[in-house]
Amino acid sequence: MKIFTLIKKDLLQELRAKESLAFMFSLSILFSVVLGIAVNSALLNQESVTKLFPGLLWVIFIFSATMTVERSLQNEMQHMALEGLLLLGVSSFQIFIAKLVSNTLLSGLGFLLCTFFLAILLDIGIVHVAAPFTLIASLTVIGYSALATVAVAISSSSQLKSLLLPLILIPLLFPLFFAATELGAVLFAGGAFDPASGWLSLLIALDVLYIVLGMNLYEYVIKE
Amino acid sequence: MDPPRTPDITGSAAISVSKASKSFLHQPALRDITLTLSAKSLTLLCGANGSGKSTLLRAIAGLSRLDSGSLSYSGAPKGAAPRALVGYLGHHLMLYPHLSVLENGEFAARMLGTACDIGAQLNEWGLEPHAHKRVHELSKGLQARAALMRIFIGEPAYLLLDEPTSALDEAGVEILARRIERLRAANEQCCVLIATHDIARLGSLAERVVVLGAGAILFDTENCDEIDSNRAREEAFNLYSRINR
Repeated sequence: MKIFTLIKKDLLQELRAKESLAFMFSLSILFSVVLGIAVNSALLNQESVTKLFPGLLWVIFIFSATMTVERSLQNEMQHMALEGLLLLGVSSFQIFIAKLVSNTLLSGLGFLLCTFFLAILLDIGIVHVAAPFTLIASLTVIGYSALATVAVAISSSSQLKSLLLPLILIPLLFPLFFAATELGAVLFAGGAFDPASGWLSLLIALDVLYIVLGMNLYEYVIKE
Repeated sequence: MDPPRTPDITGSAAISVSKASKSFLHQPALRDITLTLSAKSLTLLCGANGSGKSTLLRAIAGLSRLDSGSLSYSGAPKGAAPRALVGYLGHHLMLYPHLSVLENGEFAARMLGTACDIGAQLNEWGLEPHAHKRVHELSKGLQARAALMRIFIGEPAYLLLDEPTSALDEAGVEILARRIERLRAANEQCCVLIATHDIARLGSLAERVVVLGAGAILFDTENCDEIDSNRAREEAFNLYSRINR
């Protein structure tokens, strides 16, 4: 019950502050346009562009979602609201799960925006792969959110703050996005989705690993 | 399951701090502090800026770790701060700026699992006309009242306040004093520790005054009239001299 109240509070804060949503919307458009123009200028044929699409999408997502999630969590840490939650008897486990859910929803919305803009700019049809791609995207966004929630808390408590975040986050995210790009490339190249694929198993295993890691580390990173 | 809001205090010591030390980037903030705060007590923690008051309060609240030494709380496992029993207000208000005062209060009550009448609390703190305003729209003083209201919603057994009067007007200080007295009357085992420079306004509440200087206890008295800023300065100077020798 506490977790639902926490999630509701997080989403209400985001909706009212509008900063994160406006920021994410602008970044998604900006990155999609820049990469869309770069790819179109390279005069690649449509087959190559289709193969590149999943990789480009994840690059845009990493940048826009990381900046959005960072902004959202740092706002809360600046007001010491996370410490306030601990003093209200909320466990770090409950805080982590609530943050994971709200960050997943926020990042998921960002991913939808990136997919929409980039697919239009590169003229990629996504309807025929919508179901399997949604599964892959959901698993990737969940894994990303678990890791980003912990990484932002670590970087916020360091003096380097935003400078430290990509240094922690991107290397740790590499296997997750590698697996997601491989699965996406097969799908967009017209291949069939294989539920027994090793990449899919890796994606699920990384999600579990990042969530378990986050649940155990969060207590230490939000406390001085 | 939510922890009980009243500690099982079997002895007279509610909080014991033993040989507590802490440094930030090799700069000592607390030096071997040993302090026992008894149940039913109200202690003022005084001292110059940088004397270690806030560091000590945060450590007691369980929000920062000590480099060495230990803390114990009656009715809690050794070393673990009974967080849900602690009402702590530090330099940050710990409120959600985009939620209204009422929503912040309701959120705290829900998290603590208390069936508190938020309307009555708003009324008591003079916040009723501002109940539906978002916290970031309020003045500093009203924000401080809202933060204090949130702390008292849980009727904490350990009340730790760090310079609570710095943004309050006279009326706000009166409400705070009244609310502390009511908390102590309702829970006889309540232990209150307030870090402040405002002895003039809070001195009448205090039963004990502890003065810190350079991270150590300079003196500790139950007679508030003994507090003399010249003596505190002299003691602090002597301590600095001993440390830097």
